[in-house]
Amino acid sequence: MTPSRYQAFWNLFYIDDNQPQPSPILLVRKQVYIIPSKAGFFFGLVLLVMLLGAMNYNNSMGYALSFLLASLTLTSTFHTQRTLLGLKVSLGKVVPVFAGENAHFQLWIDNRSQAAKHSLFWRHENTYPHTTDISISIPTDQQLTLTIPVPTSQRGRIALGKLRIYTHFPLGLFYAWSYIHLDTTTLVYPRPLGHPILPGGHQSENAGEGYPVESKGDDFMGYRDYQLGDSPRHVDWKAVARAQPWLIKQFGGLEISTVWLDWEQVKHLNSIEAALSQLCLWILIAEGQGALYGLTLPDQHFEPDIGERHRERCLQALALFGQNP
Amino acid sequence: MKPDSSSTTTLHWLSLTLILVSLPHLSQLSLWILPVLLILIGWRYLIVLKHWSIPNRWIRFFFFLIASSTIFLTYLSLFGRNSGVALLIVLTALKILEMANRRDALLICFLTYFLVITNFLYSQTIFTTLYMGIVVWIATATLITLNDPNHSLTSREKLNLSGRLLAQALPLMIVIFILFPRISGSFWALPKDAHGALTGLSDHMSLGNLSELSLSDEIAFRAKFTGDPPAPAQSYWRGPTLWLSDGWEWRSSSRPTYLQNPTAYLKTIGPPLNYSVTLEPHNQTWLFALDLPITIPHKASLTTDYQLLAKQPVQQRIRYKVNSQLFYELHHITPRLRHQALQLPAGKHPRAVNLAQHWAKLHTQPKDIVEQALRYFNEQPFVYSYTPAPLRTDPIDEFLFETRQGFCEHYSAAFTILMRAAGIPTKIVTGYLGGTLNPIDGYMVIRQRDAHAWNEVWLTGRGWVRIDPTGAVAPERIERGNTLTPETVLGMEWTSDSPFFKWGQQMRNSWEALNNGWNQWVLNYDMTRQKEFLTWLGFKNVDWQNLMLTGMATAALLLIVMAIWTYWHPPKPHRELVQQLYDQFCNHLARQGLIRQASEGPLAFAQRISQKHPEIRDDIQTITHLYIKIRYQSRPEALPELKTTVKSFCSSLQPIITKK
Repeated sequence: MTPSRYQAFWNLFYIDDNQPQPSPILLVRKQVYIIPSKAGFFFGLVLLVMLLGAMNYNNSMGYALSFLLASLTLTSTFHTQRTLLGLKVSLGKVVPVFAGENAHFQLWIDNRSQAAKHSLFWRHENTYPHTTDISISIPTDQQLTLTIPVPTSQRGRIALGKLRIYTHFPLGLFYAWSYIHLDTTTLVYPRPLGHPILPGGHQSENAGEGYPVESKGDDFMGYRDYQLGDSPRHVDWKAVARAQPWLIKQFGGLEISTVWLDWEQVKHLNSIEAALSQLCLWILIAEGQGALYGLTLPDQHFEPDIGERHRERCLQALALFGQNP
Repeated sequence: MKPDSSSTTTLHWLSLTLILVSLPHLSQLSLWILPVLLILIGWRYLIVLKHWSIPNRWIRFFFFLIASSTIFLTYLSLFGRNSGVALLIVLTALKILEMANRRDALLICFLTYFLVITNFLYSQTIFTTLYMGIVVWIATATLITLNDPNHSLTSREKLNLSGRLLAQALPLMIVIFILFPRISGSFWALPKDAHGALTGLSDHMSLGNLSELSLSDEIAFRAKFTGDPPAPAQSYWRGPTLWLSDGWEWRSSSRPTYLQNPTAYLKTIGPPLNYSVTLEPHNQTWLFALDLPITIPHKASLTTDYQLLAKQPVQQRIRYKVNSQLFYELHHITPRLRHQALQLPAGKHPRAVNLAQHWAKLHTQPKDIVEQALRYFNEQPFVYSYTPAPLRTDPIDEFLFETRQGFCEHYSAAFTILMRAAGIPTKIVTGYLGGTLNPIDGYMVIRQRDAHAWNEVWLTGRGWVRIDPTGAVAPERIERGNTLTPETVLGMEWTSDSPFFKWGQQMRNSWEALNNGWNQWVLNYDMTRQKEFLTWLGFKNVDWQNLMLTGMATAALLLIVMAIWTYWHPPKPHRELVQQLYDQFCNHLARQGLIRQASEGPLAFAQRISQKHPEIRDDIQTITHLYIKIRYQSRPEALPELKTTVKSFCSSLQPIITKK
């Protein structure tokens, strides 16, 4: 066979797991691999001993039991493989994080099959064994949200990467697995670090914590949508109690000033990363104090502004600074 | 320690399985096994519930040493049947005590499966099999528990799934059971205690030991005749023949010699009887056959006194086919046999010898002497008794002239002494007389209580002739078999014509027929049966290659059927329809500019629209709730309602929302 025909033939049985696929992914038979587990091999050995014993004693019920357990083992392969079949995995929400935090990729797992799924394990291949596997169960015709935490260490764009979904259910004698390689990424902002005083003299009240600063001030500015990571202190609980969506109360400071955050102010720091971290921290402080801020990077320029969208655009510029967008 | 192995749920299941599988063993094993088992399991419960620590490895090793040495001291072996089972139970319980992870728990589960098979070494009755079926069902549910770390299944669901898995495995098991090539013989020597103590005839007879058998209702063997079975009075099943006596005890000939051709010197009268015998294990070599077997079954041989002997002691239920001749003439006896058949214990039984010699002077024909003896038993006040008076000094003389009450062995022994003293070659034949025909399956059932002893005398010109001196005393014993003892049911004696008795008899016949079917076709499914069965099914060549090929092909076919069943899912019609209706609803809203975001669930979408447009709130809520009810709670009966609601919602021509 020519290479291309060989490839075509191979593709009947095999899906290239290393290429990310668009969401949603429906697990079908040729994506699900199955082999006997270690326990399965051991059980096979036990069965062999049982069969030899039955033959030696010429014990009919011994034969019957050995054959029953052997058939049970074979039958269980279908159940094990079926545990993975018919699962529809689609992408959920993911929000940008700061380097060092876990990026939480949401997946929606839809059980489209007629059987409940038990003991499905999810493993993040790139970070295993530093991350533990997550196990879930989904009743039939139900959908659930699974959050895969992916540790981040440096700014930029992080992909979810390859997930291994596997199961031993129901008897533990076989191991079925498949790969979910969804094409999704999220932004990792630089780790906010450095000097907690804004250029121009504005000082942060919670200096140097290195985390997104919450809005200070007493004036109620309005609502915005709840996002992962928001402080529960600012959730409008009364609205939640009325079964309305989660909203975050925003408060603003009294004094409105304008700050320029310029690459020139930080380029003396010993590395680009440290400079970006400093800018990141300043953006958070400025946003937290309700100040108008502008950002100037060697290749990009943002006019002074305030608010969620502005903050995100600025942080994105920092995250992707020097990288291909 | 991983939580899944220490959790109480896992422990419940493992303990339950281990206790259930050990229970039937406890009757055979020493008494201390049960308390030790319970203590080890209880200790584990304390470890889990009270957060005690697991005893360290030295303590565990110490326990192991104590347990195995106690077992060794109890059974004087570690690898016999009983000691092996005891060791396995104790080791499994110790494993429960020290169980640290899922792997340990799996091992325990596999060991319980193994313990199931050890139960079958002791008993394979229908009851045991059903019980073990339940144990396997629960053990499989345990295995499921071990693979359900989220504990998302209830006990009921586990048992359900386990039952379903086993039910699905059953057809394949039956195919393999039928087609797996059977071998005969063993790979390795069985332990000495592989087969328990068995009742039955023995190779010696002292006056009194057959009457013990007469109390036993146990089945000795079953026979199936191709034609009509012979009358009970003609059904003399010959077992060991006894030749030698020391005055008290009778023994068989020490060195049997074998006949190569059973029909040599034999003149047959009438057609032979054709039948098969299913013999319960008795741990002896003799096989039972009616009178003179003229064919020799496989792996057996025929001695010069026409006794069938198996090559190996019968330790399992076996089945053999024989042809027998009830009427015949024999024209040859070896001098050695003739000599043996005239042996008298030196100096014993003087009065009997005197009487016989007196008869020998009266009659010239041996036939007349035989008749004289039978007349003597018949005319003198002899009594047939299960509990004869004990005999002290010379058993034969005391019986013949003083007590005059005895069982068949007394009569046959005394008759032998009389005949030998009169110069007629005579031997004792032990075996079974009669049997009852089970009308349900047509099998003749011969029980231990049918045990009998009679004689054969050598008459020149006729050969060995069967004489039953007991018949001269108690002819009804011969006519009706040994069922003279009144049936005792529920402590009361029942006459055989009461309806309760008949009903009981009917039940018993059915039960025994069922058991016999089980024995014949399931437990005794060996090479021969397999060949018979497959030939009946239409197979041409039943050899192991063909069996393997057919077995694999059939198994593959079954697996393919199961694979199709697994992978092919008939679409649920209501699921397609409900989705279509909901999409129609969403499209209608989308045309109005209300677009459902890809990441927005139906509830969130409904809420957003309702907040924005309270005027269509009711419709939106109704449709969304119906959709969720049908789609996610599998309630297709709400489908028509959804259909009408969506239709009326979408067909309203005017803009459904007021632009703000």
